Amino acid sequence: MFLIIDIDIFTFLALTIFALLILTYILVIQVVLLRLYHGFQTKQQQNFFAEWEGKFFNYLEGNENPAALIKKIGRRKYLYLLRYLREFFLMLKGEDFQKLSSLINDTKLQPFLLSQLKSGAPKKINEAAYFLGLAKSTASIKLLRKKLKSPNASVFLSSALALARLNDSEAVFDILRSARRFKFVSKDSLLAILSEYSDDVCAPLLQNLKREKNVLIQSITITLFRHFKFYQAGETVLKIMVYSQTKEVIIESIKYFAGIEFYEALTALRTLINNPKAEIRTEVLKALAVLGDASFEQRIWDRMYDSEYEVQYNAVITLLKLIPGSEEKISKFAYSDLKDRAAAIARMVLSERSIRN
Amino acid sequence: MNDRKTILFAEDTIHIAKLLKFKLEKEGFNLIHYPSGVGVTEGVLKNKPDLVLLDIMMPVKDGLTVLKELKSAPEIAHIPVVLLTANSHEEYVVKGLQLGAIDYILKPFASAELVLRIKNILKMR
Repeated sequence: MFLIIDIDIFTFLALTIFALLILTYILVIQVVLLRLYHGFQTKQQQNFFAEWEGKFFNYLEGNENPAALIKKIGRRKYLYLLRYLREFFLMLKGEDFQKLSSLINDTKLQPFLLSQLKSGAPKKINEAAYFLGLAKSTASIKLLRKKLKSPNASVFLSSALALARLNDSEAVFDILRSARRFKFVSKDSLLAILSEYSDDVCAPLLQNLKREKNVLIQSITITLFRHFKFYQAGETVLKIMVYSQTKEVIIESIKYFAGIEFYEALTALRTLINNPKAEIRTEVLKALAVLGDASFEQRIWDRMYDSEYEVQYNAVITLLKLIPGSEEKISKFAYSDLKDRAAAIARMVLSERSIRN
Repeated sequence: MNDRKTILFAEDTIHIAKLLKFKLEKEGFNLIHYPSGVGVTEGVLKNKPDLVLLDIMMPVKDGLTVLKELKSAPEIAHIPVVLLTANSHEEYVVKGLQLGAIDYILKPFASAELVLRIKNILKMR
């Protein structure tokens, strides 16, 4: 059943314009109110910062009890304080850092943050995890590990970051496996998180790598070894690379060998320089610039006639870095045939080099 | 006569700048702060500080650009410059030392160590 209202077109238009005006008016009021609220919050925060600054600097200098200091601040201003402390956590170390951590770990701030972490609100959980991780608050480890199972990607990421900052080695495997649940958690974001661990995470990761079948975890683990310059994984990574069919794993392995200067990988690199995948050939050339010797000269010259530009370009660069006096030979080659593609690329590299120098 | 040494420093992280100012003033130094690299060279030419502390990563004009300017002006080239930089930018440190910086301090830093290193540099000159 429909109610049919009989109105003429002019009344209809007038009503529509009136409705739109009302809507615009409501929106404008809403924006103004939000701006006022935001301005008020900012002002409150700035006042708090100005008031707290002196107290905080004196606290860093002296022997004031952190609990007594925090007692002076109302619970509703805890977040202002935490935001104020954020930069100091990132920039200070040593005794300054210990004192900063005490402000969270030895005061009412810690139970406050733990209660935030237990809440169901992702925003509160993320903020709490962030500060508990920064303050290396070990009391939060169990809760943070549970949060790794959260279906919410931001909760997973903030918990993983906190656990990495807490250097909780046991959690590293949960982080690696749980990450696979989220399509948009990229390898780079995972690496950024895991690189917050200290290098002692490498030993358990190496044990895991020996039996790990997942290529993404293999590749991330090897990248971390390079980041930490963990030489002890050289033999294991070499075995994995030799049998691997996965481009990412092979490329990360090659980068790792160059990064730690693992000369035992040279024999394998000798084969890989002719790999069908151009990205692998390129990476081998880059590694040879660090690890190689004169015995590679001819193989590298051969790559100057590669079908892929990236490989040809890196072949010239590697020759220049690796072979003493090669500049003269490359210069002759570069101008030997102006129509030749390899010679053109050589001219380009030489030109770039002269600009840089 | 005022024999307090003057330190001119450029640091864009405002809370950290305030902490450095607090710590170093407490140690008896005069502090002149710039929130970016802009105007630092002119400030050094005008004030002739005893030491310059430069953050490398700053908006608009970075620390290395400022360092180049400082070292190419003969009247201020002798003023020691200490670089302040994040751990992950160590390659800039090498560049900075090549450009004539006398020392560097990596972030995160311990404020007591920073004060000590500045005092040592000034004592040796």
